Amino acid sequence: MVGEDWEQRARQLRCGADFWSLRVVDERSEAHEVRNDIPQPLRTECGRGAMLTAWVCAGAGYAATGNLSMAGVQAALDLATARARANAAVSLIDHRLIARPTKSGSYVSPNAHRALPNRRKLLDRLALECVGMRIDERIVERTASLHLTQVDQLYLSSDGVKIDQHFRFLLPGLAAVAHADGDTQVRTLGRDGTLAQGGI
Amino acid sequence: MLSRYGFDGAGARIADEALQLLAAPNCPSGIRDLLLMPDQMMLQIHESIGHPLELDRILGDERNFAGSSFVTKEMFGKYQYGSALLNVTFNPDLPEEGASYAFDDDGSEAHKHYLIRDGLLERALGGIVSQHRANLDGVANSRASSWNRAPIDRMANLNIEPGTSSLDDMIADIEHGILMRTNTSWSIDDHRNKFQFGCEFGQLIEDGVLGAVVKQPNYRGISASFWRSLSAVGNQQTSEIYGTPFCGKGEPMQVVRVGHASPACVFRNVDVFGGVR
Repeated sequence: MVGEDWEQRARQLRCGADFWSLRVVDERSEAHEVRNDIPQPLRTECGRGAMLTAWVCAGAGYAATGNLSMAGVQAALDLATARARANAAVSLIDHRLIARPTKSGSYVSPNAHRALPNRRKLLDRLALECVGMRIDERIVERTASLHLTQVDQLYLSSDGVKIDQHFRFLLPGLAAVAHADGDTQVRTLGRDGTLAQGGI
Repeated sequence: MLSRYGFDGAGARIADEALQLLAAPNCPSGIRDLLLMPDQMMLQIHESIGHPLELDRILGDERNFAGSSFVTKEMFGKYQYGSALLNVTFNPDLPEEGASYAFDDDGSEAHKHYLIRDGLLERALGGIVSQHRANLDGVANSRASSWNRAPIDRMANLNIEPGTSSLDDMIADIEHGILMRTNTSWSIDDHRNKFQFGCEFGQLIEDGVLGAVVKQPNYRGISASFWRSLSAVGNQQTSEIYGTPFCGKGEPMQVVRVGHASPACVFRNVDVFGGVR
């Protein structure tokens, strides 16, 4: 989770840029799958880091860091500022003319803070659909899956803007592979198109 | 959310449809009216409206990677993108759609905007920086795939507004056509104009009646003319929300989540064909 102390930490950053911003992202995902009635190993991913953006005269510079210590974020801001200063004279875009963010706010996906079922319950639900696909011996592969992702994102700017956004993404999947006489056909629940935000 | 996609109990139906495809003939080739269901419309919107309207692509930023766009800056406010039935919105406000948010990654507040109204191209998919560069109105769609990428113009939720036709009426109005569901393949040129898309499941329509299942249904068209052949837009009851976490763009690559809500839609006289045997 993106901690509450970021505003305080941002105030301690030193920067000579005309404008700068900090975007911290914390993303965690887990993939549950049952294939041919066999629960597959849990797959998890996580990523956490920050993007620092600086505008100096006409120029803009970016620097990302996975080092979220005070020193790590300060170093990234220094690098973004140096990059902005370096391209100020040759930038194709005059960033002095770009409108800066002025409004703070927040966003939360529907039911994002509601607890999810545990892995056992999720696998039971997937297993039900997987066995439901076992209707004929020509169905040679049956997969039921659910991919869950939580993203917390905090944007802070040198003008005092704070944007706090919390997302929960779900991607359910069902796939049946039919095979006979040298032909193979696949039918799915919307292929990879079933992404949504919210609770189960 | 799972109930929205009809997840519980869908396993048996999906397996049954896979068996139907196994027994079905190949999709016939020829000119037919095409009824696209929402889980294929999402891909049609994504590839031949979404990407061409990305302002950084129009400005040339993507030419060395994913390509350019057949849309130019001069077309906004003048170009008839589709038939008068076509209404396309950037809508970050729909709860539960895949790319809803309150602010983009440049800190711009996001609101619903019409990009195409009554078929006329109005507004580009460009964030605050691209809007300044192009001197065009845009939307709050400057987004990064994660903390380690700078934001660029992305699609977010790009939807077709529902029309007035019921599904039964749309089918009844088709003399010689085909219904297609669920995208399985896509190919489109680097100006996002000429395309060829394939679906998992097809059903022929003859004299207003939905009939035989066909396998490997495909169709091809040209964005600039395809949307003008839009002849019916389904009502709210036919509309469904889909989305994918796999929209790729940029160099280095950024993969982001997008949402596409659409009703079922009918296109006249489309070049339809089957798969290679």
